[in-house]
Amino acid sequence: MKRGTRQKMWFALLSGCSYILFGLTQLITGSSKALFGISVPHSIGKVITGMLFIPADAIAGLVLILIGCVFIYGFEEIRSGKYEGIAYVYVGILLSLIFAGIYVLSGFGNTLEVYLLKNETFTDWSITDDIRPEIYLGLLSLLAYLKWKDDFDIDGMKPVDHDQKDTDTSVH
Amino acid sequence: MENNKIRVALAGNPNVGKTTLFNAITGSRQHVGNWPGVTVEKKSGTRIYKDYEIEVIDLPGTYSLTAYSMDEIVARDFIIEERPDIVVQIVDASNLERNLYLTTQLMELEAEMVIALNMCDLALERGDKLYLDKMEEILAAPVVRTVASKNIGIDELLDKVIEEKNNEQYHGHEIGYGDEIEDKILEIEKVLNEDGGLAGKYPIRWMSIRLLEGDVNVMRKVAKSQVSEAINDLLDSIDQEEYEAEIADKRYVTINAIFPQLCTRSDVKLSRSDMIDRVLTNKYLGIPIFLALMWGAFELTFAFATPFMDMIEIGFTWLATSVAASIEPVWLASLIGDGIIGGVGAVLIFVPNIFILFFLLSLLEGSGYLARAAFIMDRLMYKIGMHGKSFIPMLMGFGCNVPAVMATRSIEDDRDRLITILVVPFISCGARLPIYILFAGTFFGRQAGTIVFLLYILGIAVAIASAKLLRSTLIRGKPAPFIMEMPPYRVPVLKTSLIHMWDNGAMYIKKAGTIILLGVIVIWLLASFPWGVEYGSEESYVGIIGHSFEPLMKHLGFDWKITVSLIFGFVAKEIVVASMGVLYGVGDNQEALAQSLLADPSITALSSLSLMVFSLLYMPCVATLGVIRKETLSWKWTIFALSYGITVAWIIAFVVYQGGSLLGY
Repeated sequence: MKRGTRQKMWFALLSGCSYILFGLTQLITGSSKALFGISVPHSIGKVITGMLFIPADAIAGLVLILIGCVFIYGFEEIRSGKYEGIAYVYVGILLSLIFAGIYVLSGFGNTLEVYLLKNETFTDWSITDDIRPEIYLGLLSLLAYLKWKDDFDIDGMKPVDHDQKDTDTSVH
Repeated sequence: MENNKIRVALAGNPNVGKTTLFNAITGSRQHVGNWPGVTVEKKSGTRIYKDYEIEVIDLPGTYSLTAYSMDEIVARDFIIEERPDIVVQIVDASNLERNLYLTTQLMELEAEMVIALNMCDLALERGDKLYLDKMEEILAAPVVRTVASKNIGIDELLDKVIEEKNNEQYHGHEIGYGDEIEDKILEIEKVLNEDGGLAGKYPIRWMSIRLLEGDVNVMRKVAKSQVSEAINDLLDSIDQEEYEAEIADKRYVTINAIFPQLCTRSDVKLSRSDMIDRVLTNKYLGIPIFLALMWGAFELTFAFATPFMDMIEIGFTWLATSVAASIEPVWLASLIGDGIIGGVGAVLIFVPNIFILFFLLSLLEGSGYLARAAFIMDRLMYKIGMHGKSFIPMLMGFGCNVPAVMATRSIEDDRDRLITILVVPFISCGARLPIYILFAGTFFGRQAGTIVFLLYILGIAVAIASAKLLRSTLIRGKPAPFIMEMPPYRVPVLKTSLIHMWDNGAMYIKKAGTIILLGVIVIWLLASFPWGVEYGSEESYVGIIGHSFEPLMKHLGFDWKITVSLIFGFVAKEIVVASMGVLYGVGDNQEALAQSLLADPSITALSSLSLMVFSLLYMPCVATLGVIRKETLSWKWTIFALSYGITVAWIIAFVVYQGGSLLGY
């Protein structure tokens, strides 16, 4: 295995685990709040979620888990010798950047509310309210993308497995 | 000169460059597209070449000649009925394997074939090796390398066409289907040969194979024959579906066996497009990723639009206040302030949401992702009895149901099309978005984006469930096969996305200035009369109308004001919100309207959810109903769409409200 591929494999594992871990935390806190009205109790749990800016948002948690699964899928493929696993790393990075972008833009919207429109409902708002795992984990993906963006057209791969149906068509 | 006339049919898969080759031979300027289905009808042109008058017919692109769609029927019937002298199959050299399926079928049609190996430049650039001699030998047809877009190989192709025309001897190869099928083919051939009319007109082996595969068109041809009874007896003794699958399988076995002899693929780069597709169309990850992206789009639509909505609201509030202060008499100030500015403003406030959503959808479309959505959903769609292509009109329905219903024209099968037309109105169009934003924003706070997303998913789920219901009751049958070529992924062009956003968003603004304006004036009049009653009170006409329908709607948690809004929403869904603004007398001020809704004891979070569900499903707007009538040419189905929508909406809203009440919400 080439050194670059190995790096991508470990990056996929690290990112995958992080996204799944943060996603699960977000899912548990979000669903417990939505279903039972229970917030994270005053304990170490709340300290951790507070320090890591993890919101109680169940569906966003599911999205984080999904991105984590894409990375882990890529890790598994590369580990088992399938170089195509790089594709999963690439798409995982793209997905994490998309969702980081969504929350950055949401934060920008809130900033406009506070500083431009002086909206009273945002008086208690601070910029840290909009920091969330999607954003800082996305920064990690951004760095990876900048480092490897030219590597994602890969030599030495067959585009289609001859035993498989073409992925571009659906035939019944 | 008669002997010097040659009729040439151009056949091939979609997107292999048939029309480009047609233009290169004939000098025509037919439209060439990078999307399957550009050639729907056959086109013809003529070229004089070396004393020969060559008539070229450009047939629609097809992956096979199984005659499942109109395209395939047009192409196949031309080859069988018109008997062109030569069929030129244009084969994409960079995608040889896939193109060979059609080749095997053309061979069975006993057509005199010349193969134009097009796009050779792409294959050679990639490092593929093409063995033309072997290809000619195995496929029993002359093979010419062409690059139609650069006019390369055209004369050589025409030379081969002339040569083949003058070659008296037919040289075809047959695919063997194994002993069991071959025995059946022989039995059928024997019977068909007893009818001289059929035997003289059609290739008998081909006809026998098609009968075994259960080809309805061929069965129709045989039904008129004297041997039809004997054929039916033979076919009754076999499982045609099983034979069809077995025959297709044998063709693929043949292709897999000959492909390595025709071409060696080089080790090549996996393009970014291929890489993305590998993941986004993954069996397990494809649908979750699609849902996640759609959810992200709604989250952003909600969160990023808020400051822009506030800016519009500030503008309208200033306008309404200025009007109220400067216009006399009071009734005119009320008409303009409460009615026109309040009603239209209540709708225009949502312009940023509409524009952002359309912009995001156009980004997804421009990137090529939405075409994949149809692919991803195809497996599910087929299982529930819908055509994979139906998902494209459904996605278009996110914008507006009217063009979505019209887009069903691309679905070949009439029943598939009818089902799609009937379920498209359940897809949440942009006009319903203001209702969700108002109520989800008011009653569900930070979870508003998720609620809106779930409503969109509910719309798709109800559409799919309805399709299943219709398929198993009123419109029985199996959906036709679905083959669709994907455009490559590309970075969306900002200008194109902005234009797309503007085209859709402008339609919304235009409606605000026309039908919604008219609607709010009518509501204002009904809310103000009879003369002397309190504006928008229960004694006004609007109150009387609302109360007369209230017994039916109170089980869903709706009071008379909501009922009236929903009745007027039949004209255009935006009017639901506009009429709320008028009826609550708060004009365009969304914050004030939200406060009024929160203060109204008859509206709770649960009833607002029930209202959003009902608004999503209850009936197509007038424009959509009009286009359903136009496309189905049936009042029966139009009325069905209307009544079915109301019934489904009532039942689901009832379940939501009553179920939620029982659970203590």
